[in-house]
Amino acid sequence: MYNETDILKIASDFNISKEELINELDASGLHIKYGQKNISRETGFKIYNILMENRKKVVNHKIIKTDIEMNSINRMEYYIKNFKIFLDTSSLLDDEIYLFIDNIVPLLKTNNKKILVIPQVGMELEKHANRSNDEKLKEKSKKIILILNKLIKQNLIEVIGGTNESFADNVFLSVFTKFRIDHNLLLITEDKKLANDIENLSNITSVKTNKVINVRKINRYGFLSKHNLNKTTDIYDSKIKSIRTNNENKKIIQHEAFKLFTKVSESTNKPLSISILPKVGDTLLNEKGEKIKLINEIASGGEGIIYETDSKYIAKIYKKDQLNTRKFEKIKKMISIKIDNVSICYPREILYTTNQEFVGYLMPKAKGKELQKSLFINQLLKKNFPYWNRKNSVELCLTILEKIKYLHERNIILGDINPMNILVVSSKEVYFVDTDSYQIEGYPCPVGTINFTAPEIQRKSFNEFLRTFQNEYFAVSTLLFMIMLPGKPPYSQQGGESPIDNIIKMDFSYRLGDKTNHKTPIGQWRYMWSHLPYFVKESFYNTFHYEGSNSKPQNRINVIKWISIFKRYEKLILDGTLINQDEMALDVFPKRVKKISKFNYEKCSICKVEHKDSQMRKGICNECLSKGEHYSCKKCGKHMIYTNNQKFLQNKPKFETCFECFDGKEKMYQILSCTICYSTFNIPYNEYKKLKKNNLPIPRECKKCKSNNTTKAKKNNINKQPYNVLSIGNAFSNLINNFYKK
Amino acid sequence: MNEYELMVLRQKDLISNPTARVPVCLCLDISSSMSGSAIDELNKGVQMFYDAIRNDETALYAAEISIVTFGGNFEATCLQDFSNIERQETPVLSAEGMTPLGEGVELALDLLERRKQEYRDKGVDYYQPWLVLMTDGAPNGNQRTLDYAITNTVNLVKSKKLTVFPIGIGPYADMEILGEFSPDRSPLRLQGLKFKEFFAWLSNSISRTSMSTPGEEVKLDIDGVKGWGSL
Repeated sequence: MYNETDILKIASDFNISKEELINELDASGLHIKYGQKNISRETGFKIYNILMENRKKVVNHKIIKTDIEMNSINRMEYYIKNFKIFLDTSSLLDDEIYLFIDNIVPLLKTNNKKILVIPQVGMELEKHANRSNDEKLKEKSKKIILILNKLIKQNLIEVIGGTNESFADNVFLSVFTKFRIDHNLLLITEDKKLANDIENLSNITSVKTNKVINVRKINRYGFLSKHNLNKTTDIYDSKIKSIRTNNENKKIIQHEAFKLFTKVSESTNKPLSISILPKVGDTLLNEKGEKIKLINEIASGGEGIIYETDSKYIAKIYKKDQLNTRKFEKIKKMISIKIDNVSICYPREILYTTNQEFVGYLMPKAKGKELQKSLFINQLLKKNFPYWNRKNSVELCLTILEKIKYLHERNIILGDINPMNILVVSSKEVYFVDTDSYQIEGYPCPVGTINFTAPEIQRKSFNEFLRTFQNEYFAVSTLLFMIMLPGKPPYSQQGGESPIDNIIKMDFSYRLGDKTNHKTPIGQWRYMWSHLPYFVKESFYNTFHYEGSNSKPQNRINVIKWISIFKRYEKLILDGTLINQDEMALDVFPKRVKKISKFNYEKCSICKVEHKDSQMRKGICNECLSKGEHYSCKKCGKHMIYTNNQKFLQNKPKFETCFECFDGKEKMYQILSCTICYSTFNIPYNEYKKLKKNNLPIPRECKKCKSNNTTKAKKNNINKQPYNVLSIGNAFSNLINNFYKK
Repeated sequence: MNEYELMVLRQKDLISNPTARVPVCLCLDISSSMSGSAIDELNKGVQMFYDAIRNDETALYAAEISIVTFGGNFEATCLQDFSNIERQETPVLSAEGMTPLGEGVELALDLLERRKQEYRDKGVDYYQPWLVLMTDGAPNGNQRTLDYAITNTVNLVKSKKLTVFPIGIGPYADMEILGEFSPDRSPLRLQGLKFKEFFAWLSNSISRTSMSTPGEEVKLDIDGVKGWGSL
C-alpha cells in the first residue's frame, strides 16, 4: 500500500493538510517529524490504521463505513460484476482471508456470482492439512478447507478445471493465457513471482484483446490491493514479514491471563456458614488436604485477620460476615492463574477448616511500611529514609510501575490503588497487599479511594460496574504524582472545594510554561514541581488538566508509556545532566524553583537561599526584605514590623510609635469653617478614615449647627462650598505636587 | 514566641504537612460542679488522649485538637487553639463557676470555621470536623446564645459539615439539652467517670478516620462505644 511515499500523498488521500495529519497522528501517539519525506511500510500501515479508526463513526451501534472503505467495496463489486475471479492457495492461507471472505460474501450473494477455485489449489490445501509438520499451517489449512466446503455448498465458490496437471501455478498460467481473449480475469494471490508472470501476460503483443488481466492480493483490511512489483522491495517485504512474525511469536504469551469481561457477573450471593471461626493454634486444610497451622496473629483489619502459619505463607482468615459464595468463587478464580511474583501478596492456596468450610487463603508475606506512612508524611520520610533523594523516588516509581504492568498483562485490574496498599522496604523492594480486592474477570473491585478514582467513575457504587484500564491509568498517574511530590494529592489547591469536586472539575493547579490558574499550593510543592524535567511535568499536566491532551479516558497515558517517561528521567539523573543544570535537582524538598541557565543566581545573606539577581537588592532577597522584627507601638499597642528593608537598605532606625501616634497628638486631616456659624472645627485623621470607610461626605457644619439643623443653611444655599481656611494653601501645594509626581 | 510568630508557625504546618486533617474541638464544662474527682478524671482522660494521638503515627500528623472550656463567670475560653499536636502542651483544667453551654459551643464553632477556612486557603484536604461536647449539669448561660448555638450546630450536622458527640457526665447532666445539639445521634451518658475509656475510643476513631479518604463516610466503631457509654 504505502511504501516510502510522501506524507503529503497520504494527507491528500484523506483530504486533510500535512499539518492536520501530523497533529492527528500525534494525538494518537504516533510521532512523525514534520520534514520527514519517506515512511517505512510499517509506519505507513500504522498511519492508515489510525486515520481510518478516527474516521469511523458509530451511530446507533452500527459502524458507518468510511469513504475509503466504500471505495474498496465498490472496487470489489466491480470485479465481481465484470471479472472471473480466481483464488490461489497463498491467498487462502493469508491471515486476512477471513476478513476478505466477510467482505466479499455479501457482494457475491447480491450479484449472484461465484469465485473460482482450481482443484490443484484444493489438493495443495489438503496436503498441508494432512501432512504438514508446521502445526500452525496444518490448523490453518484445515480451517480454510472447512470454510471452502461451506461456501461451495452455498454456491459461492465453484471448483473448475481438470486434475491432469499438478502445479497450480502452471494451471493458472495456462488458464489465463487461454481465457484472456474472452474474459476479464482476476487472480488473487500473495505470491509475487506468480503475480509478476500473470501480469506479464498482458504484455503479449501477438494476440490482441480488449479484455484485461488483473492480479491482486488481500490487504490488511480484507480488501484487494495491487502487488508492488518493484524488485528491491522483495527483500524489504521479506524483512518486514520476518519482523512481523517474530513479534507475533512474542505475543504468544508465555504466561496465562484472565479473560476481560465488560459486565459484573451476576450470581446469587449466599452467606457461607461456619461452625467456629479459626484462631491461633487451629489447624486448617488447603485444597490438597495438607495441614496448615495458625501460629500467631500478625494484624487485624476490617475484613479479616492475618496469621503467621507453619508454612512459608501467611494466612488471611475472613470474619464471619465476609464469608459468602461470591467471595469463595472469586478466590477460586484468582487461584486458577499462577502469579509468580513474590512481592505481590496474591492468594496462592485456599484454606478450609477440617469440616471443609471455606475460611480464607494463603499468600506470601509482605514486608515494609505503607507508602502513606513512610513517604507521604514529610517528617516520617525524613525519619525512616534519611538518605532518600529524587533518584530513589524515580526508582520507586519504576518498581511500582513494573509490578502494575505484570498484573495488567494478566488482565488483572487492581482497582483500589492507594498508598495504604503498597508497602515499601526500599526504592527497589515493594509489596502489594489487599490483593483479594483486585478486579478479576467479572468480579469487581468493591472498594476505592476518592483521590485515586478517575473523574468519570466518581460517585458510582464500585460494586456495580467493572473498571477499565483507562480508569486505572488515572489512579496510576495520581500515585506517581504523589510519590514525586510526597503525599500531595494532585488536585489540592488554594481555595479548592471538596476532593471529589476538585477531581471532577479537573482544574489542575500546577504551572506548565505560562499556563497556570494561580492556585498552586504554597511553599515547597511549587518548588518540587518546578524541579521535575519538562517532559514529566508535561505528562502530568496533560493527564490532570481538563485542557490536557491526555485528560480523556481514551487518551490517558498507559503504564508502558509511564515506564518510558520515568526511564528517561532516571537516565537524566544517572548521567548527571540534571545535577549540572541545578545542584538542587536531587533534593526531595528543594528550597526554591529550578534554576534557569540564562539568569544569574546569588545567595541571600539572610535566608541563605539562592535567588535570581533581579529579585534581590544589596544581597538580600525581596522575601526577606519584607520580613523583619515584630513588636507593638509604645503608645497605642498597635502591631508594627521593623522590616529588613528599613534596617539594611534605608538605614532607618526602629520607630517606637506607629504613624498615628508619631506627632504626639492626633493628626488633623482638615480644619474647616462651618457654613452656618462660620466657626472653625477640626476633622481628625481617624474620623476622616471612618467617614471614608462608610462613604460619607465630609461634614460642612460644625457639630452644634448640625444638631440644631437651622433653616439658615437652607436659605443660604448659594455658597455651599465651606470657607476652608487651609483650602487655598492646600490647593496650591497639591498643584505643585502633581507637577512633580512621577 | 509572640502571637504573630505562632500564627506563622501554624501556617507553616499547613504548608509542609500534606496529610488530610481531622479537626477536633473538645468543648468542656468546667463549672464548679465538676470540681473534685470529676475534674481530676477529666484531666487524666485528656492527658491520655493527647498521649494516644502522639503515639499513633497516622493520627499524629492528621489530628488537630483545640480545647474550649466554659465556666467561670459565664465565659467561654479557648484554652488551646488548633495547631500541630507536636507544638501543643497538654493543658490542665480547673473547675469553678457557671455553665454557659451556649457560649462554649458558639466559640467552638467559630474556631472550627476559622480553621476550615485556613485549610481551604492553603489547599489542605480535611475531614468533617468533630465537636465533642461534655457537660455535667444544665446550662445556665444566656438563653438566646444557647438557642443560637443549637440552631447553628443542627444546621451544620444536617448539611454534613459537622459531627457532634454530646456526652453527659454524671446523674445531673441535662440529657435533653444535649439531645437538641445532635439530631441524628442520641447523647450518651458517661458511665461513672470513664473518661479514659472514652478518650481511648476517640483517639482510635480519629486514627481510623485519618486512614480513610476525606469525604468518604467512615463507619465509627460502635462496639467500642458500649465500653464507656450507656443510654
